Amino acid sequence: MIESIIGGIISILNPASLGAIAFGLCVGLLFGAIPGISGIMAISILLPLTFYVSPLVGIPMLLGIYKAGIYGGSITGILLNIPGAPPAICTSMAGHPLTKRGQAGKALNAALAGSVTGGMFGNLLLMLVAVPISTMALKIGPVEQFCLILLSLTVVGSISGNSILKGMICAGFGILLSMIGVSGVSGAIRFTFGSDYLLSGIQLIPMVIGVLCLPEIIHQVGACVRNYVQQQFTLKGENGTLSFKEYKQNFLLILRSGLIGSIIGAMPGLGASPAAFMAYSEAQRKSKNPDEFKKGSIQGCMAPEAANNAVTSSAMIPMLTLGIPGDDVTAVLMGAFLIQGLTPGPNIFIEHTSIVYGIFAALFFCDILLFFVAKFGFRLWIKIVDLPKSLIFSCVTIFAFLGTYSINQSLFDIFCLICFGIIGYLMRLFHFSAGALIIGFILGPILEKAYDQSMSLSGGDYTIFVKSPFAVFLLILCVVSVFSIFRMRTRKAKKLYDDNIQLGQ
Amino acid sequence: MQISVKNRVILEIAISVILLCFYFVFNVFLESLIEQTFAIAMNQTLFPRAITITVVIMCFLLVFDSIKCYYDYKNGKQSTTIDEYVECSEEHIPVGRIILYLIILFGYLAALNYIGFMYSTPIVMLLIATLLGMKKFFLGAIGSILFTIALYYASLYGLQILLPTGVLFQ
Amino acid sequence: MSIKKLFGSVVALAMVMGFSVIGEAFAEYPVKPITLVSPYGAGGDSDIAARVWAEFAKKELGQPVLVVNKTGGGGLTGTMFASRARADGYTLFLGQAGPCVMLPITTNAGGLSKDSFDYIARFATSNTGVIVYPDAPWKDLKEFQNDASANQGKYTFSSPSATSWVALAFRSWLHKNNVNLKVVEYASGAEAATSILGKHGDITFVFKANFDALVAGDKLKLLAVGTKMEEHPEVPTFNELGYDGNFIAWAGIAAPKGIPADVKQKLEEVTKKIAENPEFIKALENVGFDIGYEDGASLKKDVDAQYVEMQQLLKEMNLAVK
Repeated sequence: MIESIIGGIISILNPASLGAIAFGLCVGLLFGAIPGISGIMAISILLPLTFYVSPLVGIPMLLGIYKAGIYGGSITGILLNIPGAPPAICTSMAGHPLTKRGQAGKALNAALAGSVTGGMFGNLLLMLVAVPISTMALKIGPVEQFCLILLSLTVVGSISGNSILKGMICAGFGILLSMIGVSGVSGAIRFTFGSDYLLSGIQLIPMVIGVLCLPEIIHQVGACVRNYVQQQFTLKGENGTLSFKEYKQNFLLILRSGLIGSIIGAMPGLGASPAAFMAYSEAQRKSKNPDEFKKGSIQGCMAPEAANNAVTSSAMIPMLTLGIPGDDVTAVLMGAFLIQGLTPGPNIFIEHTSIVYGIFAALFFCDILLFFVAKFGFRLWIKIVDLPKSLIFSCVTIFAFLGTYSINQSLFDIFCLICFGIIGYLMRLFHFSAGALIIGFILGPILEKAYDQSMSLSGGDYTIFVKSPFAVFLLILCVVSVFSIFRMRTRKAKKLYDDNIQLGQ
Repeated sequence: MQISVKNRVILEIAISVILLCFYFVFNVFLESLIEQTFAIAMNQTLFPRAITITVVIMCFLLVFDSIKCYYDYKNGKQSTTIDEYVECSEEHIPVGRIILYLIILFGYLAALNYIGFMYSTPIVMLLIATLLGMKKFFLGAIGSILFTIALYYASLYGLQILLPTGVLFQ
Repeated sequence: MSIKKLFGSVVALAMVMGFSVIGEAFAEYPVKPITLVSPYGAGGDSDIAARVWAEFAKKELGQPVLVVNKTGGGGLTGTMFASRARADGYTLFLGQAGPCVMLPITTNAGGLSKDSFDYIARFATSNTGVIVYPDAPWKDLKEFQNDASANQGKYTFSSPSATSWVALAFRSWLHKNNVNLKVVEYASGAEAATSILGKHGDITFVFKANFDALVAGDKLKLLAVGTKMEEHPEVPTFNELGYDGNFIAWAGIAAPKGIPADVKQKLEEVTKKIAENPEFIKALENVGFDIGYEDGASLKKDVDAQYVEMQQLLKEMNLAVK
């Protein structure tokens, strides 16, 4: 295997491949950062280009777009509190307060460090244990998937802010929203009130932009005190960089988050967002002062980014080893493979060894080059953030509309966008968690599908959920997770109580 | 407009009651909103109902929580929630400007439909920028027109989407 | 700005707009990019075939052909959108058995009927196959039928999405041959195949693209196929086993009803030309499809025949609403 790895590295070390990766990274960063436009659009558009070039040039380009697209969302999330993509929600929750404190550079560097390290970890896993992991991932049937989603939903407790009840109501609302339209699995028509527009359901992007981006713009429209977003932020010194010591301190956290991301990515159907949320929740649980998380912390930037970048590598595992795409991006990537004549599946490692290892090497170079491309990009971003607020937010509004329109070319989606903007602002005003709504919306369909399938398998018998050992393990993890979230809150309340006693003395 | 702590506490109770009523009514009418298209053995209303009932229970608990908060406030007891409300009462919410922004957004939607992207975007950009405090009007006008044209061609050749060209012109 | 300048620029604008409208009327089709609506997700089996067609058609037509995925509702969204688009030839639809035949029969939503689309040409067909886990005790579909009839309700069918043609075709086979299986719904053929790999289901029926690599790698076993496969000559076809019916999937180009005749003819000619291009044939085979050109009139006849056949089957199973 070592010879294959070295062979792979050598085959990538040529100007065409590296250039393609760099190009892909730039495109991905741009598309990922702009709210509403995402990496998969760039991948779908540039896919035909791969017909004409060798697989070791075309596919690394698409991989570069994929990775940079996932990372790019965190940039606008940290700087403007407008995440470019759903996986970046947690990063912006932890990173934007840092920006307000003048530590934007630190936050950006932390997110980048987490991303690159987590990505490398995912790549290593992919290279070394792809086949065994894919066999394990197959054992996840509907029952185990249901328990896994329940576990993912417990993170709602961590991100709800002060009131878990409000968070759960939002998550429930999100799940109900996701049921609008025709069910992909059973074909039943739900909650459409007879409207043809609602028949296709509510799209994720208008809802995410509406609930996350528009409220921030509305808030800025209102708080028209300063004309600039914040004072000039620096990329040097204490507030601008991530010191090596800080990196070392959080290295284990990044590895843990990368592991979470790799595991979730290897299971078809889940995607980067649940991984990011779970890593964030884990980081918060293990942190010594969970309260600080809300006020901004670098751990909160590193963990979700490590997880969502690790997902990009491990999502390739089921795709390469079994020919089963885990999400829409890997589906398009698989198309790129097929068009090149490389058939993903068990035989690809034998039939096309050199190309497969070349692609593994390409993933490594994606992360390495991402580090440099992103760093260079930071200097550009300072200039942009320095522009007057009126310019930035009017552009962002137009981008929001453009991104929404680009999904289905439907003006109804734009109408949804504005409605969710209003709902999002009201939620923000009254401290209902937007993240919980989005997580419920993303996980709802998967949860329901897993539930329906489990019930079909068991014929209506609920004990099927405790018949599988892995499912039982996951359920126990759920209980542990809920328990420790409660403990975290009572600890916080107790701390406040103690503080008050001290103040009173 | 500023929301004082007292008003805030009462508002929270009102919101939780409204949510409770909404979800309760939703639960009652749940079955009529679901239509089976295929004959499948699964009962399609089970999962939505389970979620809705959970949310109803949560709303119920929220009502209690907000009432408890009200009594805490009246008796002067400290709690994290009350502290949060105190912090938020400092915030100034300019309702007028916000409504203006929303009207612009809805107007943009209508404009996209009737006069298309090219003509409506520069106008909307100027309006929003003015709302956000832009002073250099002429520069802004030129900039927004250039930006619109750039976006139109970028989305045509880059994203490969045709932006709306307005119903009135077809 | 003075009134004169303002007036002048308004007139200029009006003239430019006017010319562009007139210009469009006189130039030859196509003068602007064409949209091909794909009702399933990006990268899904027929979607790739559509992209291959689009790439080759672009060269012949001189304008970009953009494949747009309008997903949702098990194919309903994209189908509805395409059927209601303006019939000027700039919005086309990737026609397959599922959205064109099954959807109108099984649902009243969206006002779909078998005449919602004009058929331009068919460009590809796909083989299908019944797959099971390699160590399953059945050698072919007949043995499975005997076993399952004797043990009604024992085995599980992983259905590749309730609204797909493959799922309904297999369920009609089950119905005709008196076999009862537990049915578990999955969202796509790929998911159904995965479930067999993980032994969460016993049997499924999917497109060639979904099982090809796995059967070649000995991870899955074929019990029957739609038409004979060179790579696996020992696997019988449905017809050889005595089950009649058509088990080949097709993909073609359709347009909303009322497309102008000259536009239709041009697209038909372009498809015919591409179908003779060896590179196109090779590209299709790479993604699991076979070349299968048929002109619009023949395609329409095939679709009507399939509609009648499916309607009959689905009525017997109480799944038809028309």
